[in-house]
Amino acid sequence: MNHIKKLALAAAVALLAASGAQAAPVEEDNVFLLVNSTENVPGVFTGTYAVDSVGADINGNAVGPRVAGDTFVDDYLLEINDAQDVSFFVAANSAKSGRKVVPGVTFSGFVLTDLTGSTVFAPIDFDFESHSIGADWTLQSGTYDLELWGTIGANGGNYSGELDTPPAVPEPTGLALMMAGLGAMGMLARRRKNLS
Amino acid sequence: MRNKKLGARAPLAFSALSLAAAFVLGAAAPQAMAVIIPKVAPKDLGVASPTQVRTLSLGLTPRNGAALDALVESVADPKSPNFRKFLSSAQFAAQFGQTPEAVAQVAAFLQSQGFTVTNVHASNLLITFKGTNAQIAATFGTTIHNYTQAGSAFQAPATAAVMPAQIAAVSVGVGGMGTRARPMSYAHTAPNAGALAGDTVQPALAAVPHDAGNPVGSWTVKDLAAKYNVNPLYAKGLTGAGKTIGIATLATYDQADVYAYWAALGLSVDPNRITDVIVDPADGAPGTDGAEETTLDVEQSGGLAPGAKMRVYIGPNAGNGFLETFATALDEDMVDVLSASWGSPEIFYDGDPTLALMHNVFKQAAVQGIPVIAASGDSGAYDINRNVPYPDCSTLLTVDYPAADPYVLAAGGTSLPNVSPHKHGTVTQPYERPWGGDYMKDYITTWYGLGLYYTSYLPEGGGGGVSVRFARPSYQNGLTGVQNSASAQSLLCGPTITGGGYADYWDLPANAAGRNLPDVALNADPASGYVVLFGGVAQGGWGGTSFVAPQLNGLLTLISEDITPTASNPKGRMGRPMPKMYAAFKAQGYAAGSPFLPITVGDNEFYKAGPNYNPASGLGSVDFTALDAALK
Repeated sequence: MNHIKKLALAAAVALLAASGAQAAPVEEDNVFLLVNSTENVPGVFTGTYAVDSVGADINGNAVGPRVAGDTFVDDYLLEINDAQDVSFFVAANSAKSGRKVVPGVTFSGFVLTDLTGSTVFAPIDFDFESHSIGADWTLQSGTYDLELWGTIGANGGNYSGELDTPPAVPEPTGLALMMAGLGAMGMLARRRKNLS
Repeated sequence: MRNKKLGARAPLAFSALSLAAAFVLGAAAPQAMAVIIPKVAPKDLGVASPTQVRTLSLGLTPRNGAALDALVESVADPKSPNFRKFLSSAQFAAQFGQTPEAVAQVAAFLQSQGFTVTNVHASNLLITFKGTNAQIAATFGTTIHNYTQAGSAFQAPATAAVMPAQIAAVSVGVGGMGTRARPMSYAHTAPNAGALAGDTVQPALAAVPHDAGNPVGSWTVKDLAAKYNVNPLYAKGLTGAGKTIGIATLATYDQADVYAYWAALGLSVDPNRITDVIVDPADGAPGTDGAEETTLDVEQSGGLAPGAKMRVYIGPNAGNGFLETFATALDEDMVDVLSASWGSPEIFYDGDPTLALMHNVFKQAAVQGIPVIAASGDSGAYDINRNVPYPDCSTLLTVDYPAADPYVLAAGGTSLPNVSPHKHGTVTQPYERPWGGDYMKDYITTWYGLGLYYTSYLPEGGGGGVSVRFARPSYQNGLTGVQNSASAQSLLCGPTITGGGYADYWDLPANAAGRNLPDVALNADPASGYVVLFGGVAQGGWGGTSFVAPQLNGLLTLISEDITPTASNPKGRMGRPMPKMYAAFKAQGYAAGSPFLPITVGDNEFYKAGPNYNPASGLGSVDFTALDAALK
């Protein structure tokens, strides 16, 4: 009888664990304020904004460690006081999952809206699952919310990238980052193929 | 931290059905998203003193409101049989004011509640009364609280006032309960304080120059007349004789300054041409804060129409003071043109019935044939950012009131080519363009840093944009360049304003088909600005759309002298000029002989100038001799 109880308990624990795997812990949303890193540089009126999931949020709260299976929604607030071409790119890091090196993050969508969410400037790519994403927009003066969501692929997974105003044509640094990101994705894909 | 939860959108677990729905719905899908930064209401500091006395204006509903709206349009429509068939203030009251019986009933009710009725306006649409906050609470069901928001302290009703049943049927609302929309003067010099102290080198002047031909920055009305082709009007004998200029202002001044200014120019004026009318319904007499504004208003308008009489309506800058000042001028019905160079962001009137009451006053002006002109503001496209500076708060595309009212001619600003001396060198502005501080960006950023540019010169320029509180008037319909309101307009303020964290104070509607302003623009940049004689001293380097409003006042007064009086327009008044002005533009554009001169280069910090109407410089600057032909 005890054995049956233990089996039932084990089954229940396994079921809970399984359900937990299907519905991973949901991270509290984080809201980041994009601060122009070229502020106060004479003659430079546009900027490069670091986009990453590491550090503190808009109110100075540290972003907690994210673990494999966590889902996240990160918002980046951007204020533009002129018409601008905006380019945006983020890429996942690589992290170890057991013996495998996997993308640290899988992105499943992003959207650019106003602060109320009622005006959408870029569509949500619901079917988009990737380890690097980017887009170009032309924006008018305003306050915007760039919302990005995805899943942490392995402990230590995070992402980083840039939001640039302008260029409409990627600057060399942005292009290099993009190429590096694409290269990393290619290497990961090749490694997965070899492992399989 | 915001309240929305990922599960609300379940972005990681979409079924094929939900995915399809998302694409079919397109932009509809994100509608479900919550506000990411919580909207923050003004911080309530508690109930204001119940014994505090305030003076209020109860607005009454115009009788025959639809007929009034129709008459406002038809008296300004050259194709209408009613064109320029204006009413006197008594006729206005008889046709559209409430009946004497109804007015007496309302006044008696207010008195029964303990209020003191201090004035019933001749229009029979406005009753001025005085009482305590406690009496307001007892009668109108709302308490007055003290608030702060985004660095500003003000008083306002905690909830919307409820009109008592006894007077609700004939009442629009009560103005003067709040103090948030406190008008600012739009006269100033280039930023020259704090870290920028001594940066701008003001033109050195011993006296107001007698003749025209002065460098920009030291202009007088004679230079303006030469630039905008006014002199042919003087040559044909127009001086404004027989007309009366009206100035609505909120600060006292010294008549000696303005007479001295005109004397220095050698203008022949009646030494008794000015009548000051002290409007004192509100909480205290008019103050001196902004005295230079009143001074320049009178100098500029009276200098351009030296033969005109002048009535200067001076109200207190508190509560219902601005409303009462306009209403008093229109009740008197003695001025032919009326201008004001004070204003505040239109959204500061949100929830305040004063906006509706003033709109009715401007309707009265329209049917009495009195053009009302207002400065469009001095903060470029970002009117509110003079009150809430960037980057403490985000920039917000906003327009100024009363210029935003479609019954008011909005006076915008340009910058003329100039080489302005500064501490670290000269700055060259080579074009006639909308006035905007962005041409100072390189200089200020190089010598003082981008941060100082943001706080000093970003909110500097000719006011213009799209109203989100007033619908687009018919005269702007079908006009290339007229815009709808921009998207993504939220006022996001950070810790320096909120005291910690970030807050969203205002979300403005996107794509609203609102009134565009300004209507026209004249030189307003301090760097290419004017001389003011104030306190006995002549000083150059003054600017602001504060100059443009009284300049247009004086110049429309000249033009109105050219309008032949008729039996139905015995005073030869011009009436609301915008329909004719826009019609002239639609017919002539910028062709030879057009009243309008294109401004095609530059911006007012956001809206760009161009070959059509634009919210940076409106229809452009003005050839007043051609405008006389178009309007007379």
